[in-house]
Amino acid sequence: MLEANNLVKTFVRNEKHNVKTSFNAVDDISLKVKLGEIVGIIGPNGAGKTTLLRMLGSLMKPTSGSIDITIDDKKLKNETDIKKAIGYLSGNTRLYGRLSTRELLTMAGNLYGMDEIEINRRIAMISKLLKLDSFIDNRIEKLSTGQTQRASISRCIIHNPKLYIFDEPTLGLDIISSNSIVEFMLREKSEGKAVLYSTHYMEEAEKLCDRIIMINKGKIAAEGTVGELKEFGKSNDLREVFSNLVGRGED
Amino acid sequence: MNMKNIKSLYKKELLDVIRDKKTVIMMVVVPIILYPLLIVISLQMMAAITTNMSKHVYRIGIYDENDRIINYWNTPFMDYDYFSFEDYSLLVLEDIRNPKEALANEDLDAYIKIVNKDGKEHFEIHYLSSVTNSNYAAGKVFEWLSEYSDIITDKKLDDLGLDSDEILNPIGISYEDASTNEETAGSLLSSILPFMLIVSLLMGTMYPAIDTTAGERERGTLETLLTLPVTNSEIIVSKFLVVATIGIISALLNIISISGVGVYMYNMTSTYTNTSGGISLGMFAPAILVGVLCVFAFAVFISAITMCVTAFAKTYKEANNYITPLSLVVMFASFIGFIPNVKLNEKVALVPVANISLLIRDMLSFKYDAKVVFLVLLSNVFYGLAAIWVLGRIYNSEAILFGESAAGVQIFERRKNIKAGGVPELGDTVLVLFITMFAMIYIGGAIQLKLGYFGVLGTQLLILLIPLAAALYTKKDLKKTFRIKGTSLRYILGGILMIFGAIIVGMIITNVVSAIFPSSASEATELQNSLIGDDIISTLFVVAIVPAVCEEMMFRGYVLTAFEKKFKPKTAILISACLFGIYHTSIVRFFATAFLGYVICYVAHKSKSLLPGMIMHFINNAISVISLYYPDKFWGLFLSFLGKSFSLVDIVIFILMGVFLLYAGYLIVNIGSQQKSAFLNKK
Repeated sequence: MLEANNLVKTFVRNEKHNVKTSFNAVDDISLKVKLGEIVGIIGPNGAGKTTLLRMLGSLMKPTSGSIDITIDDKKLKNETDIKKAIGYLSGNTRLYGRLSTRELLTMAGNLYGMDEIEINRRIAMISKLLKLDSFIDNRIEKLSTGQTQRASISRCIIHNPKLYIFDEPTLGLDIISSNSIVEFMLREKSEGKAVLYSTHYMEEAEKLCDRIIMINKGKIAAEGTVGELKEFGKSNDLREVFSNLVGRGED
Repeated sequence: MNMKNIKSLYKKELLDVIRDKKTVIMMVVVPIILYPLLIVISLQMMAAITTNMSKHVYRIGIYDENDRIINYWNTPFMDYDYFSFEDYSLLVLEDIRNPKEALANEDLDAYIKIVNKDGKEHFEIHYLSSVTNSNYAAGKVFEWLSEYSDIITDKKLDDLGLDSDEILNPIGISYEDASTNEETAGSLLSSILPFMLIVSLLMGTMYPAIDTTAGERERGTLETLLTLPVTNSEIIVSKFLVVATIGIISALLNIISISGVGVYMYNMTSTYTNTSGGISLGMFAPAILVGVLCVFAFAVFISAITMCVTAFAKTYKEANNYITPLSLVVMFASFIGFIPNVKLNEKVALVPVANISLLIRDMLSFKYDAKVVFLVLLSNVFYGLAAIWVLGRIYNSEAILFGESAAGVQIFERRKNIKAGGVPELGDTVLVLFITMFAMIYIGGAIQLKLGYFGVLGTQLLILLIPLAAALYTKKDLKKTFRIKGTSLRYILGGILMIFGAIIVGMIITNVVSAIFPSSASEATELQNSLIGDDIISTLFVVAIVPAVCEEMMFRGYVLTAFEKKFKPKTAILISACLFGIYHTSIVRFFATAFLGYVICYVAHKSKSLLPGMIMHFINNAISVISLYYPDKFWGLFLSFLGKSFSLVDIVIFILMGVFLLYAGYLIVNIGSQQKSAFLNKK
């Protein structure tokens, strides 16, 4: 349902004032994600994970290559339809502190083209699912970390997307908060949705992912199921497989 | 763009901004409370001081040339029984020995020293100009002595049997103030209110501008916004609309506040002069209505321009740093309302900020020329749109949105942090353009008025030195930035042919535009006449040679190079050409100079050298100098075959000639290059 072919993203960067260097943050990556599976992306800092996910989430345009998203045998053509099919969440997608969760969800719902009745129905449903009731009308800046996290998830599922793209969603969260995200991903998977997510945590990836893609310096270093990767790396420890691939000390 | 999306985004942004206390305080408190308060307090203080001054009794003493006290009975005043010092709030003290010391200790406010000078009694008034009371006392003493002098004159003439009034005042002179009471009240307000209004508007839009751009990025909500199915244009349009809304609300509150102050002043003046009914507030209505429209347009412009600046910043702090110089420039320009003799004419109407400052000043004194007001409105709308366009481009750049590269303004960075090399950044160029524009109008204008010929020379040097200083400070590659490079003959030859064609086409354009704006046409020629030096050589130097160097360095050097790096060649050339046109601050000359600029930019772009452009620029300016010095010979030679009056056929021949020259030059410039050219694409 999501198919990316030969993605390249080139940045022209002003390294320390005007010495220009151009480099490929993502260098010829192709991947596929099917409905009902969780695909993990693992890579050291600066490997190009965020850039890759931003392109797949249509936040950035690839320098070259193509991204095809097919829903119900229909290939989505324009950016608006693609964004409507995707729930995107990352450490960088913060919420508006001066709005309440309800206001935020209503605004997002409007932009996704939902009508008022539908928005209210979804809000009621999500509120029950993620237990938002006690704080849904409070300003987001007043919420606790766990509550903010739940509000964040509610924001990306308001339009009931088919595909989730999460960029290090559990980074810096405590066990309870990150568990709620892990649970959420498993639940969505069981409902036949697709999840593509990047992480630093090997154990989490090992437990969750149907397939893992290891990337390094903008290229795919290895990919497959956990078992396949372990076999490929000739080790029973995924962490070791990864370290061997990207070179020790870099992670 | 989807209107429904913009509506949703607008609602969200407005809610977000309005819930920020700082914005609301700046938007509401400053105009509604702070500055009426300021005006009322300062007026009350002025009133208090004035009453205090008039009630104050000043202590004076009378001394002879050796600083010995003269008893009043022994003063010459006694000869005329002159005792009126009490009418002048003066008290003559007769027990202070050392007047100099007493004055320094402020035991005396002033003293009179009676000396003999040229066989006449001479009264020296000694006072301290640094002390307010002493100043006033000296003034009172002067008035008092003047009356004494009048008494003596009257007496002497009387003794001769003459009518003193007939001799001293053979004719009657009086001032009759023709301005109505509305005008008097207006002129009181008009010098300070424009400044306050502009500053208040700037403060009002500053916070929402920072909040919706840099603030959003700092808080990390921008990426959230980008995950939603909205386009960058929808995002920026809605943000802009919110800031503009705040700007307009702020403007409205300002206007209400100003009206409040106006009513207060009106009450003050009417009780003061006892001419109630002399001012009818209804008379203010038309002025306010037109003024309000212009102020709204200006609010939109200032919103867009502040957003342009803040969009580059990643944090609140950084945005504040960027906005400080902008505020200074805006405040400086709005100060123009304080300068008494600056008139709002068609030229000044095109200068941003200054035009609105002067317009409000004139409005409050009930002076306005409908055409100029229209120009102010138009130019504000134009600048607003231009700023919005720039804003749109900034927000379409992934580098800016994701903060991958800092497309900043290097001029604000510490020099030691700047790496050498490269060509100017866009941000720096915009800043340099603004600074040069303002330097040219304010400094250039002043020195041209004072120094004439050398003032013109100085202005040109400013145009050269500002970009040069910027390039040196930011350690740019000067050779690349200013296209210092040899060139080949074909560029020079082609350039010369093209400039002759451009001059001809430019003349046609100027004639067409002059027909539309007749009054500015005479202005343009006046300006050219004033440029004439002592002789043709010195004129050629200052009008043709110097600009050919200075303006080329600036426009085909710094500016075009920076734009070439950022935009496609066609866009870079077009923008540089328009800026070149704007720099000549005249509507009549805008289109023609922009066209000349386009042609020169094209050759500069192709040749990568400044030399052909300098030659072209020199030829263009030199021809206008020669035609001014030898109008008959010049036009006779040039147009002898066309006959006295232009017929349609002549004009067509003329145009064809211009186009032919342009094309011939173009072909020569492009010898050996098969590339599709920017120049032809435009045609």
